[in-house]
This record gives sequence, structure tokens and C-alpha cells, in this order.
Amino acid sequence: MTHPLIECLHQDQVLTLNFLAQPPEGMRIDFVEALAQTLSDLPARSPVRIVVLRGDMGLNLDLAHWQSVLLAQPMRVHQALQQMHRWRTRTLKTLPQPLIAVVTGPCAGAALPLIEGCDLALCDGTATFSLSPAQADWLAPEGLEKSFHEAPRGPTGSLLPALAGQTLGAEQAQALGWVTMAVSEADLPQVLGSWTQSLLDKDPLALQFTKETLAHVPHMDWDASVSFTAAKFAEIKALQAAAGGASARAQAIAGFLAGQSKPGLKG
Amino acid sequence: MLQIEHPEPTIRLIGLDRAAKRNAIGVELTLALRDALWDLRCAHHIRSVVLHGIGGHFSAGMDLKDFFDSSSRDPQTLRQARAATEEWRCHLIRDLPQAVFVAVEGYCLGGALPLVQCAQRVAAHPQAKFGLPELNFGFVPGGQILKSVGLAVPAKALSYLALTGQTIDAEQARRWGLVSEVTPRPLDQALAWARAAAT
Repeated sequence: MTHPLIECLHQDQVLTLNFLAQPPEGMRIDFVEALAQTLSDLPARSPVRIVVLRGDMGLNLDLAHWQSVLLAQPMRVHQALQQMHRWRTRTLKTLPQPLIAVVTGPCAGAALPLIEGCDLALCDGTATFSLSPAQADWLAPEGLEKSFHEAPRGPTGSLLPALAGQTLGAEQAQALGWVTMAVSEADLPQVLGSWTQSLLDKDPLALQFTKETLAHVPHMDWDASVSFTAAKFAEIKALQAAAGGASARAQAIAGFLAGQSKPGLKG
Repeated sequence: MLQIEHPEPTIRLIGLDRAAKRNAIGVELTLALRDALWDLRCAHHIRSVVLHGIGGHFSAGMDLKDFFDSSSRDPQTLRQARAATEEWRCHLIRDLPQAVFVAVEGYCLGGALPLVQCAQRVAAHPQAKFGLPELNFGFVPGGQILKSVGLAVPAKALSYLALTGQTIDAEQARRWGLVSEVTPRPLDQALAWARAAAT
């Protein structure tokens, strides 16, 4: 499914989903449906190794439109809301590709759980973050509330400004853990480029397994995490051997031990 | 493998002492750590513990040569070492009756990070480097290490460290919650905390 407001740019194994400007009234239901379908199709797009979400992140709802659809097709609205909930809880976290969200300008509404579901998030000084009145009053808030409780690591009460409808800046979003890093507008392209290149340089299987480990292990108890890791190590060793990756790994270790390379340790 | 001192009767100073390997945690070091932590559980007169690295680095993480593909250790020894590692990493260090403080200089990577995460406070030198470089070698970071680091830093910081394999400096580690204080004399700071906690 395609949508005129979702631009798909595919270059060098990086798929960028660029959200074009929403209508002034806000986001309509067909956008949500198209985005859900696009995200669901990603696992099958094997040449894609990294997904970048960027563009207009002011994804507030066109309430009048959603109300009219609700009256005519209530199930459609409930399904769309469910899909939005799943972005955060499942769809994005279970994608094999790492996701990077890039926030420039206002970020609100459905964009917030999208960003929370991404592995990495980068924003510049123009970014602002806010809950829309629609989310506070109309949308089932349980997903976002949980999302905000899990994401931030600020002092107690630091969520209050957001929940009270205030707008947060880039530095505050970084301090709360909503984004990985806030950088200047001038630095953003270079930082994004270095992140994507760093991810592209990784062994694809190891990258995928690491993302899987990140998705599951934090919720396990310690002994379960040991078992999970043992099973995953055995699985990846077998898969890397089948793909010829074990020798590359052996070379990387041998080069490191011989002092010929220090991958990732230059910084 | 470990240099154990008592600057005061109620404070135990434990130095990771494998400087030639940047204190990488190999078989002997992990077994020594397990034993030292067991000993601490029963040392009720000790009130505070300070962990640090000898030779300018805290620890470069697990010793790749000792533990993984190119290990020349016999399988039984490896099994024991891995079991000991899980024991101290997942349980012993988390259940200590003493207050734990850590001083970090140089590298603090991968398998060493749970020691930092478990500490009540962490002092780090401005030039210290923290990271999860496993993916740079085609390895997946251990689930227990990710779980541990995830208890200290935001989810997106954990993903950054694990997926990019890039190191961060002490100031960034402080912003993300892994480090309490950045100071040019981290061991002095950790000892000061230990003294305050022991009184």
C-alpha cells in the first residue's frame, strides 16, 4: 500500500520513510493504515538493512475526520488505533532492521510512540515534543502513558511538563531518554551518516540478533537471560558458519589480538 | 589477578590486576572475582567495597582469546569459567551486603560494565571510555550484559552502545546515568565515598 504522504527513498540498503507535510487539519486514518502496512512489509524487504523515519513528525489527528469515520466505520477506527499501539509494543521492536528516527521541528501525536519504538533517535535544536490535546482527551492513552514511563530516566516528576501539555525542547527530550542524542542542525547529517555507516559495517546476522536480544532480554529474569544468550550464541555461530561469517569474525579477533585493528575503539 | 587491600579495616579495595591485557576478564580473573565476591558476602566487618583497575584501565571486558572462538582452554575449564562469570555477574555482585563504589580509568567495556552498573556510585576519569564493542567483532553482546547496562541507562542509549559498538566518554556516560561523577582522581573519589558509607 502506498500513500501520497509517505515517500519511500531506498539507497545503499537504507530505506528512508519520509513523512510529507500533513494537511493543516491533521492526520487522517488512511495515513495510519498505509504506514502500518508499510511497516509490516519491511521484514520482507531483504535488501533493506536500516530504516530511517523522518519528515513531518507532527502527526496529530484530524479529529473531525476521525469522528466521522468512527460513526460510519467504528471497527476501522479501532483497528487503526490498535495498529498505532502495536507500532510501539511490537511492530518496530520485532523488525529485523534497526530503525533510526530523525526529528526536526514539531513532534507530536502518533509520532511519539513511533519514535519510542525506534532503536535510535536523533534530533536537532528545532525539534519540539508534545502530547496533543487529542491524545490527552480522546485517544486511549494507555500506550503512550506506558511508553513515557519506560522511556524517560529523568528525576521524579520530569514527565509532568509533557503530561500537562507543555512542549519540551531537544535538550529536555535527550535528558529524558526520548531521543538518543540532540545535535545542532549543522551536525545532524554528519551524525546520521556516521550512525548508518556504523550499522552497515556490522555483520548483518549479529546486528539482527543484537536487536532481538535488546527487545527481549530486559524483560527476562537473570537466569532466563543466560539461557536466551546461550541459545542465541549457538544459533548465530551456526548461521555465521553457514554464511561464511565465522571466518570474518575470526579475522576480526585475530587482527585485534595482533594489534592490527581496534574496531570501534578509536573514539 | 586481583590486588586486595584494606585502606581501613572496614573498607576493601579490590584492584583488577591484569594490566598487560588491560584487565580483560579471562579465566583466572573471572574465577578470582567469583571467589572474592563470595568472600565479601561473608565478611560482615567490611562495610564498603571499592573496585578499580590496575595499570590505567578498569577493564577491556571479557578476554576474547580466553573465552571465545580462539580459546585454547579445555572445555571443562571453560565451562567452569563461564558458570563463574554468570554467578558473579547475575547474582553475587547484586547481593553484596556492602556498599560498592567503582573508580574507572581508561577502558571500561563489555563484560566489565555489570560491575559498574551494580555500584552505588561510580567515579570516572574524563578520558575514560565506555562501550559495548562486541558487534565490531561479529559477536552479539551477552544478554546479561545488555540487561545489566539497561538498568543504568535509557533504552535508546543502550541500543546506541550495543548496535553501533561505539565508545562514549565519561561525560556522556554521566549524562546517561552510568557514571555518578567525572573527576581526574576517580580512585580518591571512590575511596572518599567508601569512607563516608563505612562510618
